[in-house]
Amino acid sequence: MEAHETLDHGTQAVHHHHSHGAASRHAHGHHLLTVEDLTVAFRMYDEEAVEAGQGKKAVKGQKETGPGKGKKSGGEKGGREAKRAQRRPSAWRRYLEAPQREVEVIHSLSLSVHEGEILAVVGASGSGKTLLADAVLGLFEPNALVRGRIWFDGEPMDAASLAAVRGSRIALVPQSVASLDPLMRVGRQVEGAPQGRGAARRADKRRRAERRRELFARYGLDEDVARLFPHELSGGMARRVLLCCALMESPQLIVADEPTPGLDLDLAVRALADLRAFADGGGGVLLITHDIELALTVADRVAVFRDGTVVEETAVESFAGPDTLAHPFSCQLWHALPEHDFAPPPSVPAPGDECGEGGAPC
Amino acid sequence: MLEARAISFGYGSGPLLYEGFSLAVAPGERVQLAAPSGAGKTTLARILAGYERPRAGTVLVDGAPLPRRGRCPVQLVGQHPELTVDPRQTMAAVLAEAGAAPEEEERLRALLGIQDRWLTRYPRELSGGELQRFCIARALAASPRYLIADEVSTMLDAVTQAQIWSVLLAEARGRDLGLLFVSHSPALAARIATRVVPLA
Repeated sequence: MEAHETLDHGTQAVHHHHSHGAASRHAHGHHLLTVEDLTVAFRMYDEEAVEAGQGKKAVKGQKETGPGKGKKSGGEKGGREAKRAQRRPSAWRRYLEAPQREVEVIHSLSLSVHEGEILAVVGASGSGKTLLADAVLGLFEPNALVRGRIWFDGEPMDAASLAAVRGSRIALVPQSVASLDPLMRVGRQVEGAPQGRGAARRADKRRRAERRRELFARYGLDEDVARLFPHELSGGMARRVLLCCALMESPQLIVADEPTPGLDLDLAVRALADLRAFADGGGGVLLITHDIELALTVADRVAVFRDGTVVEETAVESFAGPDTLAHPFSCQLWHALPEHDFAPPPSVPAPGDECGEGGAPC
Repeated sequence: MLEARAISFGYGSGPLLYEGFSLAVAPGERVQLAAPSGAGKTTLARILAGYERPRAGTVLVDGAPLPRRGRCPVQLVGQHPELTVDPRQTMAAVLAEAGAAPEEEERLRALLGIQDRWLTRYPRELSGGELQRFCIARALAASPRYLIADEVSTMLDAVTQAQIWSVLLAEARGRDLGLLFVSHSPALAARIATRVVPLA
């Protein structure tokens, strides 16, 4: 990364795995966030092997154990064995011998976010976009296997250090409105817990309340809203509350996972304009979204995500027409927009299907 | 005809969201409900589908009030699929709630691109878009006469959105469904709506 600053970013649009927006910059000679070769897999029970019963024991390196003999025993026992194979194995056997497998959901993904930049991640639903957000925040499910390298502000990170900066230097705007605490009034949730002791604590509490009022006023939330519980909010109001939560502290990086669904156009534009203003002020934004049209208005670069990896990383300008898009899936996305053809791809591939690469004619 | 006659509603002792609001959706129509965020679009959708009872006014389906029990002829597909499925049931059980014939279920699954391996999973093991397919399949499997789509495609990518809406529109045409939908995307609404009703 030392030789990096000597590159002329104006002429070399693409270098080490990514392109640059006009406004982005490398402060202190490094990226704000770099993710390299990220792979996320889940260890889960292999239902298919269980359903197949004793016939299919050696699944993905699982050693055959236990008393159950396969179908391959002698011919004279064939009838009985066949009968046994037809029966589902008993409950305890299925429980004790349940084979497991690893399901890889994100495959060697690399991307980076610069200071002063919005990187929009668009792509198929179910392709692992939210898992990417979770990985950047160091939120891992107990059965997740996460490999790869993440740097934040020049420091190599691991799960513990990511967890330490989570909420202060990296903020999340979560996708689900269910992320709000159902038993806490939203004002308190946004303000968070004051720090310090005694007078300092009271001062911090006042500062937080002041900041919260500012944010609420900015997003057209009444003061009364602070007294409500999450179930009393409309979908759009809940989104705005989530956004306020993320902006409460002054983070360096905001990971916004679908911040706009449920907001009317006016509010959605305002929310994205705020993310833009945050980026212009020197922060970085990883904007995960389906709303391509809206994302294009604020983002510097777009990473097209499909089946767990980035298939194309390109400047926003490339989305002007299908001709400048390199990957067939990007073209499909372009054609499917209601503003353009609103057309599902002709050979409708099952979503998440690996063989769907054929693509629409561009 | 799905009719709301002079409906008034407010939560608890709070202010009224609307007073004397009326709306009619005929079979085969695709009506967009337009209003700013927080105006009560989702609440109206819930009232029309029988989840909430209005303080005043009635909801009539083909002249009769909504049935209190059994399968509702007005089905609602919500904005947050993760909140409309039982977190303790597998997706196969969620889909079976509609009580449709297995063939019909299978047909809808194929139409909406629901993969067989999702059926044994629990809701939290699926993405928002995958869950929403189940919710749409469940609503259609209940053979409704009217379908209310409350921002059904905001959590979907553009390709899936186009795919799901083409399925919804084809089904609506095939069954002569009345469709009431909410969307914040003007381009999408322009594609679908035959009529726009402002929620005043």
